[in-house]
Amino acid sequence: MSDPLPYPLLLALLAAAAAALFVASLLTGSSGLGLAESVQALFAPEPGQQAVALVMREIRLPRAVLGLMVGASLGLAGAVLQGYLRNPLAEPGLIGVSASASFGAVLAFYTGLAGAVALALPVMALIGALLAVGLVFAIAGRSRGSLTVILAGIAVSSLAGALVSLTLNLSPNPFAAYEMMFWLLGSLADRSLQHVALAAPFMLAGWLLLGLTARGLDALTLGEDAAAALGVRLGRLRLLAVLGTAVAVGAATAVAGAIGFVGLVVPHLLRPLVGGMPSRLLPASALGGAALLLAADLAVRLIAPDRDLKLGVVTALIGAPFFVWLVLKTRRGLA
Amino acid sequence: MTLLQTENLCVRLGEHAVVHRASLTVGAGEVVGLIGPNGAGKTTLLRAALGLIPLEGGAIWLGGDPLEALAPAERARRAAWLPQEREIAWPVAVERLVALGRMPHARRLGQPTAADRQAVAKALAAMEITHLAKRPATWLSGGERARVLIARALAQEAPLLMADEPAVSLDPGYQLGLMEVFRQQALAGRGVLLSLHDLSLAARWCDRLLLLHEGHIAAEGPPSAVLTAERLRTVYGIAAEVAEGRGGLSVQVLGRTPAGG
Repeated sequence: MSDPLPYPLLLALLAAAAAALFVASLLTGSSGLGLAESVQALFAPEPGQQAVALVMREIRLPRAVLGLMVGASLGLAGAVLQGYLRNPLAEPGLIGVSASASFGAVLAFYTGLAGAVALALPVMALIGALLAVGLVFAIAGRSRGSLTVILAGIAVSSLAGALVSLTLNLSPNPFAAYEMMFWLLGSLADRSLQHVALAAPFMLAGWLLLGLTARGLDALTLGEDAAAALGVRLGRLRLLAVLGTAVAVGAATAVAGAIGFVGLVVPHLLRPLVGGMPSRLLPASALGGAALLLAADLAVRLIAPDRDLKLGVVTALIGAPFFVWLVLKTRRGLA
Repeated sequence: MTLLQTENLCVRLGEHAVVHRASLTVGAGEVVGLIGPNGAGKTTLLRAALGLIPLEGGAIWLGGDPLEALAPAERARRAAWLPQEREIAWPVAVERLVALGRMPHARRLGQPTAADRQAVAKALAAMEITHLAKRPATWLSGGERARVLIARALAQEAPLLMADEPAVSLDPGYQLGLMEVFRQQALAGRGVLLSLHDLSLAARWCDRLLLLHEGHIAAEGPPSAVLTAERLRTVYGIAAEVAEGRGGLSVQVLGRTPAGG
Protein backbone atom coordinates (compact mmCIF):
# COMPACT_ATOMS: atom_id res chain seq x y z
CA MET A 1 0.00 0.00 0.00
CA SER A 2 1.47 3.32 -0.97
CA ASP A 3 0.30 6.66 0.36
CA PRO A 4 -3.25 7.55 -0.69
CA LEU A 5 -1.99 10.87 -2.03
CA PRO A 6 1.51 12.29 -2.44
CA TYR A 7 2.83 13.89 0.74
CA PRO A 8 3.61 17.35 -0.73
CA LEU A 9 0.09 17.44 -2.21
CA LEU A 10 -1.42 16.55 1.16
CA LEU A 11 0.51 19.36 2.86
CA ALA A 12 -0.49 21.79 0.10
CA LEU A 13 -4.19 20.86 0.45
CA LEU A 14 -4.09 21.24 4.23
CA ALA A 15 -2.30 24.59 3.93
CA ALA A 16 -4.87 25.77 1.38
CA ALA A 17 -7.71 24.70 3.67
CA ALA A 18 -6.17 26.52 6.62
CA ALA A 19 -5.57 29.65 4.52
CA ALA A 20 -9.13 29.65 3.17
CA LEU A 21 -10.59 29.22 6.65
CA PHE A 22 -8.32 31.99 7.94
CA VAL A 23 -9.72 34.36 5.32
CA ALA A 24 -13.27 33.18 6.03
CA SER A 25 -12.66 33.88 9.70
CA LEU A 26 -11.56 37.43 8.87
CA LEU A 27 -14.74 37.98 6.89
CA THR A 28 -17.18 36.56 9.42
CA GLY A 29 -18.64 38.48 12.32
CA SER A 30 -21.59 40.28 13.79
CA SER A 31 -20.80 43.61 12.11
CA GLY A 32 -22.02 42.43 8.73
CA LEU A 33 -19.27 44.10 6.72
CA GLY A 34 -19.00 43.59 3.00
CA LEU A 35 -16.11 41.61 1.55
CA ALA A 36 -14.42 44.45 -0.33
CA GLU A 37 -14.97 46.81 2.57
CA SER A 38 -13.39 44.39 5.08
CA VAL A 39 -10.31 43.72 3.02
CA GLN A 40 -9.74 47.33 2.24
CA ALA A 41 -10.22 48.39 5.85
CA LEU A 42 -7.74 45.78 7.01
CA PHE A 43 -4.92 46.75 4.70
CA ALA A 44 -5.52 50.33 3.58
CA PRO A 45 -8.39 52.05 5.34
CA GLU A 46 -9.73 55.15 3.69
CA PRO A 47 -10.66 58.19 5.75
CA GLY A 48 -14.09 57.53 7.21
CA GLN A 49 -13.45 53.81 7.50
CA GLN A 50 -11.91 54.02 10.96
CA ALA A 51 -14.72 52.07 12.57
CA VAL A 52 -14.45 49.25 10.07
CA ALA A 53 -10.66 49.24 10.32
CA LEU A 54 -10.99 49.00 14.08
CA VAL A 55 -13.30 46.00 13.82
CA MET A 56 -10.98 44.27 11.39
CA ARG A 57 -7.70 44.95 13.17
CA GLU A 58 -8.76 44.84 16.81
CA ILE A 59 -11.42 42.14 16.75
CA ARG A 60 -11.30 39.90 13.71
CA LEU A 61 -7.58 39.78 12.97
CA PRO A 62 -6.55 38.66 16.49
CA ARG A 63 -9.31 36.08 16.48
CA ALA A 64 -8.24 34.60 13.14
CA VAL A 65 -4.52 34.67 14.00
CA LEU A 66 -5.13 33.02 17.35
CA GLY A 67 -7.38 30.42 15.74
CA LEU A 68 -4.60 29.55 13.35
CA MET A 69 -1.85 29.44 15.97
CA VAL A 70 -3.81 27.75 18.75
CA GLY A 71 -5.06 25.10 16.34
CA ALA A 72 -1.58 24.49 14.96
CA SER A 73 -0.16 24.24 18.50
CA LEU A 74 -2.79 21.70 19.55
CA GLY A 75 -2.43 19.62 16.38
CA LEU A 76 1.36 19.62 16.48
CA ALA A 77 1.62 18.89 20.20
CA GLY A 78 -0.94 16.10 19.87
CA ALA A 79 1.04 14.47 17.05
CA VAL A 80 4.30 14.74 19.01
CA LEU A 81 2.83 13.33 22.22
CA GLN A 82 1.12 10.47 20.42
CA GLY A 83 4.42 9.67 18.72
CA TYR A 84 6.43 10.03 21.89
CA LEU A 85 4.08 7.91 24.01
CA ARG A 86 3.35 5.57 21.09
CA ASN A 87 -0.29 5.81 21.95
CA PRO A 88 -3.03 7.11 19.62
CA LEU A 89 -5.11 8.21 22.61
CA ALA A 90 -2.52 10.66 23.92
CA GLU A 91 -3.41 14.35 23.75
CA PRO A 92 -1.73 17.59 24.82
CA GLY A 93 -3.73 17.82 28.06
CA LEU A 94 -2.21 14.56 29.25
CA ILE A 95 0.90 16.11 30.74
CA GLY A 96 -1.04 18.48 32.97
CA VAL A 97 -0.36 21.70 31.06
CA SER A 98 -3.96 22.60 30.15
CA ALA A 99 -5.30 21.93 33.64
CA SER A 100 -2.51 23.97 35.24
CA ALA A 101 -2.98 26.86 32.82
CA SER A 102 -6.68 26.76 33.68
CA PHE A 103 -5.83 26.94 37.36
CA GLY A 104 -3.66 30.01 36.74
CA ALA A 105 -6.56 31.60 34.88
CA VAL A 106 -9.23 30.95 37.49
CA LEU A 107 -6.84 32.26 40.10
CA ALA A 108 -6.61 35.48 38.09
CA PHE A 109 -10.40 35.76 38.27
CA TYR A 110 -10.47 34.82 41.95
CA THR A 111 -7.94 37.46 42.97
CA GLY A 112 -9.58 40.08 40.80
CA LEU A 113 -6.36 40.63 38.89
CA ALA A 114 -8.04 39.54 35.67
CA GLY A 115 -10.26 42.60 35.76
CA ALA A 116 -7.71 44.99 37.23
CA VAL A 117 -4.61 44.38 35.12
CA ALA A 118 -4.62 43.89 31.37
CA LEU A 119 -3.22 40.50 30.37
CA ALA A 120 -3.02 39.35 34.02
CA LEU A 121 -5.18 36.38 33.07
CA PRO A 122 -3.11 34.95 30.21
CA VAL A 123 0.13 35.68 32.07
CA MET A 124 -1.03 33.80 35.15
CA ALA A 125 -2.28 30.93 32.98
CA LEU A 126 1.10 30.77 31.28
CA ILE A 127 2.87 30.72 34.64
CA GLY A 128 0.58 27.88 35.67
CA ALA A 129 1.55 25.90 32.58
CA LEU A 130 5.27 26.44 33.09
CA LEU A 131 5.05 25.47 36.77
CA ALA A 132 3.23 22.31 35.70
CA VAL A 133 5.98 21.22 33.35
CA GLY A 134 8.58 21.84 36.05
CA LEU A 135 6.55 19.73 38.43
CA VAL A 136 6.18 16.95 35.86
CA PHE A 137 9.94 16.81 35.35
CA ALA A 138 10.56 16.90 39.10
CA ILE A 139 8.20 13.98 39.66
CA ALA A 140 9.34 11.97 36.63
CA GLY A 141 12.96 12.35 37.72
CA ARG A 142 15.94 11.31 35.66
CA SER A 143 14.55 8.08 34.24
CA ARG A 144 14.34 8.29 30.47
CA GLY A 145 11.18 6.24 29.98
CA SER A 146 7.89 7.70 28.81
CA LEU A 147 5.72 5.92 31.39
CA THR A 148 6.92 8.11 34.26
CA VAL A 149 5.98 11.21 32.24
CA ILE A 150 2.41 9.97 31.78
CA LEU A 151 2.07 9.14 35.46
CA ALA A 152 3.56 12.47 36.53
CA GLY A 153 1.27 14.26 34.03
CA ILE A 154 -1.82 12.52 35.39
CA ALA A 155 -0.80 13.44 38.94
CA VAL A 156 -0.26 17.11 38.02
CA SER A 157 -3.51 17.19 35.98
CA SER A 158 -5.52 15.80 38.87
CA LEU A 159 -3.97 18.24 41.32
CA ALA A 160 -4.56 21.22 39.04
CA GLY A 161 -8.12 20.05 38.36
CA ALA A 162 -8.77 19.82 42.09
CA LEU A 163 -7.36 23.30 42.62
CA VAL A 164 -9.62 24.68 39.86
CA SER A 165 -12.60 23.12 41.64
CA LEU A 166 -11.43 24.51 44.96
CA THR A 167 -11.13 28.00 43.50
CA LEU A 168 -14.64 27.75 42.03
CA ASN A 169 -15.85 26.40 45.35
CA LEU A 170 -14.42 29.34 47.27
CA SER A 171 -15.23 31.98 44.69
CA PRO A 172 -16.29 35.22 46.40
CA ASN A 173 -19.54 35.66 44.47
CA PRO A 174 -21.66 33.86 41.89
CA PHE A 175 -20.63 36.27 39.18
CA ALA A 176 -16.91 35.42 39.61
CA ALA A 177 -17.74 31.70 39.49
CA TYR A 178 -19.78 32.31 36.35
CA GLU A 179 -16.86 34.14 34.74
CA MET A 180 -14.47 31.33 35.60
CA MET A 181 -16.84 28.66 34.29
CA PHE A 182 -17.25 30.52 31.02
CA TRP A 183 -13.55 31.05 30.60
CA LEU A 184 -12.90 27.35 31.20
CA LEU A 185 -15.16 26.47 28.25
CA GLY A 186 -12.61 27.98 25.86
CA SER A 187 -13.15 30.75 23.36
CA LEU A 188 -11.42 33.03 20.88
CA ALA A 189 -13.98 35.83 21.12
CA ASP A 190 -12.87 39.33 22.16
CA ARG A 191 -9.15 38.63 22.11
CA SER A 192 -6.84 41.52 21.26
CA LEU A 193 -3.57 41.89 19.43
CA GLN A 194 -1.93 42.06 22.88
CA HIS A 195 -3.06 38.47 23.40
CA VAL A 196 -1.41 37.57 20.11
CA ALA A 197 1.78 39.39 21.06
CA LEU A 198 1.90 37.61 24.40
CA ALA A 199 1.21 34.09 23.17
CA ALA A 200 2.88 34.04 19.75
CA PRO A 201 6.53 33.97 20.91
CA PHE A 202 5.80 31.04 23.22
CA MET A 203 3.87 29.15 20.59
CA LEU A 204 6.62 29.70 18.01
CA ALA A 205 9.28 28.55 20.47
CA GLY A 206 7.16 25.51 21.29
CA TRP A 207 6.80 24.65 17.60
CA LEU A 208 10.56 24.79 17.22
CA LEU A 209 11.13 22.42 20.15
CA LEU A 210 8.40 20.06 18.94
CA GLY A 211 9.76 20.11 15.39
CA LEU A 212 13.15 18.90 16.64
CA THR A 213 11.58 15.65 17.87
CA ALA A 214 10.75 14.41 14.35
CA ARG A 215 13.61 11.99 13.75
CA GLY A 216 13.62 10.66 17.28
CA LEU A 217 9.89 9.96 17.05
CA ASP A 218 10.42 7.93 13.88
CA ALA A 219 12.99 5.76 15.65
CA LEU A 220 10.68 5.38 18.66
CA THR A 221 8.29 3.49 16.38
CA LEU A 222 10.58 0.54 17.13
CA GLY A 223 10.44 1.02 20.90
CA GLU A 224 12.65 2.87 23.36
CA ASP A 225 15.48 0.33 23.39
CA ALA A 226 15.79 0.13 19.63
CA ALA A 227 15.59 3.92 19.34
CA ALA A 228 18.35 4.40 21.92
CA ALA A 229 20.51 1.89 20.03
CA LEU A 230 19.87 3.87 16.84
CA GLY A 231 21.52 6.88 18.44
CA VAL A 232 18.44 8.70 19.77
CA ARG A 233 19.05 10.51 23.07
CA LEU A 234 15.87 9.58 24.89
CA GLY A 235 16.35 12.13 27.66
CA ARG A 236 16.72 14.95 25.16
CA LEU A 237 13.73 13.72 23.17
CA ARG A 238 11.58 13.69 26.28
CA LEU A 239 12.68 17.20 27.18
CA LEU A 240 11.84 18.49 23.70
CA ALA A 241 8.45 16.78 23.55
CA VAL A 242 7.26 17.75 27.03
CA LEU A 243 8.74 21.25 27.17
CA GLY A 244 7.62 22.02 23.61
CA THR A 245 4.07 20.91 24.45
CA ALA A 246 4.08 22.88 27.68
CA VAL A 247 5.22 26.09 26.04
CA ALA A 248 2.99 25.87 22.93
CA VAL A 249 -0.15 24.46 24.54
CA GLY A 250 0.36 26.46 27.73
CA ALA A 251 0.38 29.67 25.68
CA ALA A 252 -2.58 28.45 23.62
CA THR A 253 -4.59 27.66 26.75
CA ALA A 254 -3.59 30.97 28.29
CA VAL A 255 -5.25 32.95 25.50
CA ALA A 256 -8.03 30.60 24.40
CA GLY A 257 -8.92 28.46 27.42
CA ALA A 258 -8.83 24.69 27.48
CA ILE A 259 -9.85 23.43 24.05
CA GLY A 260 -10.10 19.68 23.92
CA PHE A 261 -10.09 17.02 21.25
CA VAL A 262 -8.29 18.96 18.49
CA GLY A 263 -4.94 17.53 19.62
CA LEU A 264 -6.44 14.05 19.81
CA VAL A 265 -8.56 13.94 16.68
CA VAL A 266 -6.35 15.67 14.11
CA PRO A 267 -3.23 13.46 14.35
CA HIS A 268 -5.42 10.41 14.38
CA LEU A 269 -7.34 11.40 11.26
CA LEU A 270 -4.21 12.34 9.33
CA ARG A 271 -2.01 9.40 10.35
CA PRO A 272 -3.24 7.04 7.61
CA LEU A 273 -2.69 9.78 5.03
CA VAL A 274 1.02 10.17 5.86
CA GLY A 275 1.79 6.45 5.89
CA GLY A 276 2.02 6.31 9.67
CA MET A 277 5.44 7.99 9.93
CA PRO A 278 5.51 10.26 13.02
CA SER A 279 7.88 12.80 11.44
CA ARG A 280 5.61 13.25 8.41
CA LEU A 281 2.61 13.59 10.68
CA LEU A 282 3.97 16.69 12.46
CA PRO A 283 3.57 19.35 9.73
CA ALA A 284 0.35 17.75 8.48
CA SER A 285 -1.12 17.73 11.96
CA ALA A 286 -0.14 21.36 12.64
CA LEU A 287 -1.89 22.48 9.44
CA GLY A 288 -4.86 20.21 10.08
CA GLY A 289 -5.21 21.48 13.64
CA ALA A 290 -5.20 25.07 12.43
CA ALA A 291 -7.86 24.27 9.81
CA LEU A 292 -10.08 22.40 12.27
CA LEU A 293 -9.93 25.08 14.95
CA LEU A 294 -10.62 27.87 12.46
CA ALA A 295 -13.57 25.85 11.13
CA ALA A 296 -14.92 25.26 14.64
CA ASP A 297 -14.54 28.95 15.47
CA LEU A 298 -16.45 29.80 12.28
CA ALA A 299 -19.17 27.35 13.24
CA VAL A 300 -19.47 29.02 16.64
CA ARG A 301 -20.18 32.35 14.93
CA LEU A 302 -22.42 31.04 12.16
CA ILE A 303 -24.61 28.56 14.05
CA ALA A 304 -25.61 30.77 16.96
CA PRO A 305 -24.30 34.31 16.43
CA ASP A 306 -26.28 35.71 19.35
CA ARG A 307 -25.67 33.04 21.96
CA ASP A 308 -21.89 33.30 22.44
CA LEU A 309 -21.43 29.58 21.91
CA LYS A 310 -18.06 28.56 23.35
CA LEU A 311 -15.38 27.11 21.09
CA GLY A 312 -14.33 24.39 23.54
CA VAL A 313 -17.93 23.19 23.67
CA VAL A 314 -18.09 22.84 19.89
CA THR A 315 -14.75 21.02 19.58
CA ALA A 316 -15.89 18.62 22.31
CA LEU A 317 -19.21 18.09 20.54
CA ILE A 318 -17.31 17.20 17.38
CA GLY A 319 -14.64 15.29 19.26
CA ALA A 320 -16.66 13.07 21.56
CA PRO A 321 -18.50 11.11 18.84
CA PHE A 322 -15.16 10.73 17.08
CA PHE A 323 -13.70 9.33 20.27
CA VAL A 324 -16.49 6.76 20.44
CA TRP A 325 -15.80 5.81 16.84
CA LEU A 326 -12.12 5.42 17.77
CA VAL A 327 -12.99 3.08 20.62
CA LEU A 328 -15.27 1.03 18.37
CA LYS A 329 -12.55 0.76 15.75
CA THR A 330 -10.03 -0.32 18.36
CA ARG A 331 -12.51 -2.87 19.67
CA ARG A 332 -12.96 -4.33 16.20
CA GLY A 333 -9.21 -4.46 15.79
CA LEU A 334 -8.86 -6.40 19.03
CA ALA A 335 -11.72 -8.81 18.38
CA MET B 1 39.85 -7.48 15.37
CA THR B 2 37.77 -7.24 18.52
CA LEU B 3 34.42 -5.58 17.95
CA LEU B 4 33.09 -5.85 21.47
CA GLN B 5 34.85 -6.50 24.73
CA THR B 6 33.43 -6.40 28.23
CA GLU B 7 35.44 -6.82 31.39
CA ASN B 8 33.93 -7.79 34.73
CA LEU B 9 30.57 -6.37 33.78
CA CYS B 10 28.23 -6.12 36.78
CA VAL B 11 24.60 -5.01 36.57
CA ARG B 12 22.20 -4.60 39.43
CA LEU B 13 18.47 -4.14 38.87
CA GLY B 14 16.94 -3.01 42.15
CA GLU B 15 18.30 -5.21 44.93
CA HIS B 16 19.19 -7.98 42.56
CA ALA B 17 22.60 -8.61 40.99
CA VAL B 18 21.51 -9.75 37.52
CA VAL B 19 24.88 -9.94 35.81
CA HIS B 20 28.04 -10.59 37.78
CA ARG B 21 31.60 -10.09 36.52
CA ALA B 22 30.85 -11.03 32.94
CA SER B 23 33.80 -10.79 30.58
CA LEU B 24 33.35 -11.52 26.92
CA THR B 25 34.69 -10.65 23.50
CA VAL B 26 33.19 -10.77 20.03
CA GLY B 27 35.58 -10.64 17.13
CA ALA B 28 35.14 -9.86 13.46
CA GLY B 29 34.02 -12.85 11.45
CA GLU B 30 32.45 -14.88 14.23
CA VAL B 31 28.95 -15.78 15.33
CA VAL B 32 28.77 -15.96 19.11
CA GLY B 33 25.75 -17.49 20.81
CA LEU B 34 24.63 -16.48 24.29
CA ILE B 35 22.65 -19.28 25.91
CA GLY B 36 21.25 -19.88 29.36
CA PRO B 37 17.96 -20.57 31.13
CA ASN B 38 15.16 -18.02 31.57
CA GLY B 39 16.24 -15.32 33.98
CA ALA B 40 19.95 -16.07 33.61
CA GLY B 41 20.58 -12.45 32.62
CA LYS B 42 21.07 -12.77 28.85
CA THR B 43 19.01 -9.75 27.87
CA THR B 44 20.44 -7.66 30.69
CA LEU B 45 23.99 -8.56 29.66
CA LEU B 46 23.34 -7.62 26.02
CA ARG B 47 21.64 -4.33 26.92
CA ALA B 48 24.38 -3.44 29.37
CA ALA B 49 27.04 -4.15 26.77
CA LEU B 50 25.34 -1.57 24.52
CA GLY B 51 25.19 1.04 27.25
CA LEU B 52 21.38 0.91 27.43
CA ILE B 53 21.32 0.33 31.18
CA PRO B 54 23.69 1.67 33.83
CA LEU B 55 26.52 -0.53 35.06
CA GLU B 56 27.31 -1.41 38.64
CA GLY B 57 30.89 -2.00 37.58
CA GLY B 58 33.13 -3.14 34.77
CA ALA B 59 34.25 -1.74 31.46
CA ILE B 60 33.11 -1.97 27.83
CA TRP B 61 34.99 -1.37 24.59
CA LEU B 62 33.07 -1.05 21.35
CA GLY B 63 35.13 -1.26 18.18
CA GLY B 64 38.30 -0.66 20.23
CA ASP B 65 37.14 2.49 22.05
CA PRO B 66 35.67 2.81 25.54
CA LEU B 67 31.89 2.82 25.13
CA GLU B 68 31.37 5.90 27.28
CA ALA B 69 33.66 7.92 25.01
CA LEU B 70 31.40 7.33 22.00
CA ALA B 71 28.48 9.59 21.06
CA PRO B 72 25.14 7.77 20.66
CA ALA B 73 25.20 8.07 16.86
CA GLU B 74 28.74 6.66 16.72
CA ARG B 75 27.68 3.72 18.90
CA ALA B 76 24.83 3.11 16.48
CA ARG B 77 27.27 3.04 13.57
CA ARG B 78 29.35 0.42 15.39
CA ALA B 79 26.66 -1.87 16.75
CA ALA B 80 23.11 -2.70 15.60
CA TRP B 81 20.66 -3.98 18.20
CA LEU B 82 17.55 -6.07 17.77
CA PRO B 83 15.58 -6.06 21.04
CA GLN B 84 13.46 -8.99 22.07
CA GLU B 85 10.30 -6.89 22.14
CA ARG B 86 8.98 -6.89 18.58
CA GLU B 87 7.55 -3.44 18.79
CA ILE B 88 6.08 -1.61 15.79
CA ALA B 89 3.98 1.28 17.05
CA TRP B 90 2.48 2.63 13.82
CA PRO B 91 1.26 1.18 10.52
CA VAL B 92 4.41 2.20 8.64
CA ALA B 93 5.27 0.59 5.31
CA VAL B 94 7.88 -2.16 5.62
CA GLU B 95 10.50 -0.42 3.49
CA ARG B 96 10.23 2.79 5.54
CA LEU B 97 10.56 0.82 8.75
CA VAL B 98 13.64 -1.01 7.47
CA ALA B 99 15.07 2.34 6.33
CA LEU B 100 15.05 3.49 9.97
CA GLY B 101 18.18 1.35 10.27
CA ARG B 102 19.95 3.96 8.14
CA MET B 103 19.32 6.71 10.66
CA PRO B 104 22.81 6.62 12.23
CA HIS B 105 24.28 7.21 8.75
CA ALA B 106 21.90 9.98 7.71
CA ARG B 107 22.56 13.65 7.71
CA ARG B 108 19.86 15.70 9.36
CA LEU B 109 16.76 15.79 7.16
CA GLY B 110 18.82 14.44 4.27
CA GLN B 111 17.22 12.46 1.49
CA PRO B 112 18.25 8.77 1.38
CA THR B 113 21.51 8.23 -0.48
CA ALA B 114 22.20 5.49 -3.01
CA ALA B 115 24.01 3.59 -0.25
CA ASP B 116 20.92 3.83 1.94
CA ARG B 117 18.64 2.47 -0.78
CA GLN B 118 21.05 -0.34 -1.52
CA ALA B 119 21.37 -1.31 2.14
CA VAL B 120 17.57 -1.39 2.53
CA ALA B 121 17.12 -3.45 -0.64
CA LYS B 122 19.80 -5.92 0.48
CA ALA B 123 18.25 -6.28 3.94
CA LEU B 124 14.77 -6.83 2.47
CA ALA B 125 16.16 -9.48 0.14
CA ALA B 126 18.14 -11.19 2.90
CA MET B 127 15.01 -11.59 5.04
CA GLU B 128 12.88 -12.52 1.98
CA ILE B 129 10.41 -9.70 2.51
CA THR B 130 10.96 -7.67 -0.66
CA HIS B 131 7.42 -8.51 -1.77
CA LEU B 132 6.07 -6.96 1.46
CA ALA B 133 7.95 -3.67 1.02
CA LYS B 134 4.87 -1.47 0.56
CA ARG B 135 2.67 -3.17 3.16
CA PRO B 136 2.09 -1.57 6.57
CA ALA B 137 4.25 -3.58 8.95
CA THR B 138 1.53 -3.81 11.58
CA TRP B 139 -0.67 -5.78 9.18
CA LEU B 140 1.84 -8.64 8.98
CA SER B 141 1.97 -11.90 10.91
CA GLY B 142 4.26 -12.27 13.94
CA GLY B 143 6.91 -14.13 11.98
CA GLU B 144 6.84 -11.62 9.13
CA ARG B 145 7.14 -8.72 11.57
CA ALA B 146 10.13 -10.43 13.19
CA ARG B 147 11.80 -10.63 9.79
CA VAL B 148 11.03 -6.96 9.11
CA LEU B 149 12.72 -5.96 12.36
CA ILE B 150 15.74 -8.16 11.67
CA ALA B 151 15.99 -6.52 8.24
CA ARG B 152 15.95 -3.14 9.98
CA ALA B 153 18.95 -4.19 12.08
CA LEU B 154 20.75 -5.58 9.00
CA ALA B 155 20.16 -2.32 7.09
CA GLN B 156 22.15 -0.54 9.79
CA GLU B 157 25.25 -2.30 8.36
CA ALA B 158 27.14 -1.96 11.62
CA PRO B 159 30.29 -4.06 12.12
CA LEU B 160 28.65 -5.71 15.12
CA LEU B 161 25.12 -7.11 15.12
CA MET B 162 23.56 -7.95 18.48
CA ALA B 163 20.19 -9.70 18.59
CA ASP B 164 18.06 -10.87 21.47
CA GLU B 165 16.23 -14.09 20.61
CA PRO B 166 16.08 -13.36 16.87
CA ALA B 167 14.88 -16.86 16.01
CA VAL B 168 11.78 -16.80 18.21
CA SER B 169 8.47 -16.90 16.27
CA LEU B 170 10.17 -17.94 13.03
CA ASP B 171 9.25 -21.28 11.45
CA PRO B 172 12.09 -23.83 11.07
CA GLY B 173 12.73 -22.85 7.46
CA TYR B 174 13.15 -19.17 8.27
CA GLN B 175 15.17 -20.03 11.39
CA LEU B 176 17.72 -21.76 9.19
CA GLY B 177 17.53 -18.91 6.69
CA LEU B 178 18.22 -16.45 9.51
CA MET B 179 21.24 -18.39 10.76
CA GLU B 180 22.56 -18.53 7.19
CA VAL B 181 22.22 -14.73 7.01
CA PHE B 182 24.21 -14.41 10.25
CA ARG B 183 26.89 -16.71 8.83
CA GLN B 184 27.10 -14.56 5.71
CA GLN B 185 27.47 -11.49 7.91
CA ALA B 186 30.38 -13.19 9.66
CA LEU B 187 31.92 -14.22 6.32
CA ALA B 188 31.70 -10.57 5.26
CA GLY B 189 33.84 -9.67 8.27
CA ARG B 190 31.14 -8.62 10.70
CA GLY B 191 30.62 -9.99 14.17
CA VAL B 192 27.33 -11.38 15.45
CA LEU B 193 26.29 -11.83 19.08
CA LEU B 194 22.90 -13.36 19.64
CA SER B 195 21.00 -14.92 22.49
CA LEU B 196 19.30 -18.20 21.69
CA HIS B 197 16.98 -20.63 23.40
CA ASP B 198 17.15 -23.28 20.73
CA LEU B 199 20.19 -25.35 21.69
CA SER B 200 20.24 -27.19 18.36
CA LEU B 201 20.55 -23.91 16.48
CA ALA B 202 23.21 -22.77 18.93
CA ALA B 203 25.14 -26.03 18.56
CA ARG B 204 25.08 -26.04 14.81
CA TRP B 205 25.45 -22.43 13.76
CA CYS B 206 27.60 -20.66 16.33
CA ASP B 207 31.39 -20.52 16.31
CA ARG B 208 31.45 -19.98 20.02
CA LEU B 209 28.96 -20.19 22.86
CA LEU B 210 28.69 -18.35 26.15
CA LEU B 211 26.62 -20.14 28.77
CA LEU B 212 25.11 -17.74 31.26
CA HIS B 213 23.88 -19.15 34.56
CA GLU B 214 22.50 -16.97 37.35
CA GLY B 215 24.34 -13.93 36.04
CA HIS B 216 27.72 -15.66 35.70
CA ILE B 217 29.35 -16.87 32.53
CA ALA B 218 29.48 -20.54 33.50
CA ALA B 219 31.17 -21.81 30.37
CA GLU B 220 32.67 -20.48 27.18
CA GLY B 221 34.09 -22.08 24.10
CA PRO B 222 33.17 -24.01 20.96
CA PRO B 223 29.71 -25.60 21.11
CA SER B 224 31.10 -29.10 21.57
CA ALA B 225 32.97 -27.96 24.69
CA VAL B 226 30.14 -25.95 26.23
CA LEU B 227 27.20 -28.25 25.52
CA THR B 228 27.87 -31.29 27.64
CA ALA B 229 25.17 -33.52 29.10
CA GLU B 230 26.44 -32.82 32.60
CA ARG B 231 26.24 -29.06 32.17
CA LEU B 232 22.78 -29.11 30.60
CA ARG B 233 21.63 -31.13 33.61
CA THR B 234 23.02 -28.73 36.21
CA VAL B 235 22.18 -25.48 34.42
CA TYR B 236 18.89 -26.23 32.64
CA GLY B 237 17.73 -29.20 34.73
CA ILE B 238 17.28 -31.33 31.63
CA ALA B 239 18.52 -34.71 30.53
CA ALA B 240 19.91 -34.44 27.01
CA GLU B 241 21.97 -36.35 24.53
CA VAL B 242 24.70 -34.42 22.79
CA ALA B 243 26.05 -36.15 19.73
CA GLU B 244 28.14 -35.40 16.67
CA GLY B 245 25.75 -36.11 13.81
CA ARG B 246 25.64 -35.69 10.06
CA GLY B 247 24.85 -31.97 10.13
CA GLY B 248 27.24 -31.22 13.00
CA LEU B 249 26.65 -31.21 16.72
CA SER B 250 23.08 -32.04 17.76
CA VAL B 251 21.32 -31.76 21.09
CA GLN B 252 18.38 -33.98 21.82
CA VAL B 253 16.43 -33.15 24.94
CA LEU B 254 15.09 -36.30 26.61
CA GLY B 255 13.24 -34.79 29.55
CA ARG B 256 13.48 -32.83 32.75
CA THR B 257 15.61 -34.17 35.53
CA PRO B 258 13.96 -34.42 38.95
CA ALA B 259 14.49 -31.38 41.12
CA GLY B 260 17.85 -31.46 42.85
CA GLY B 261 18.95 -34.39 40.65
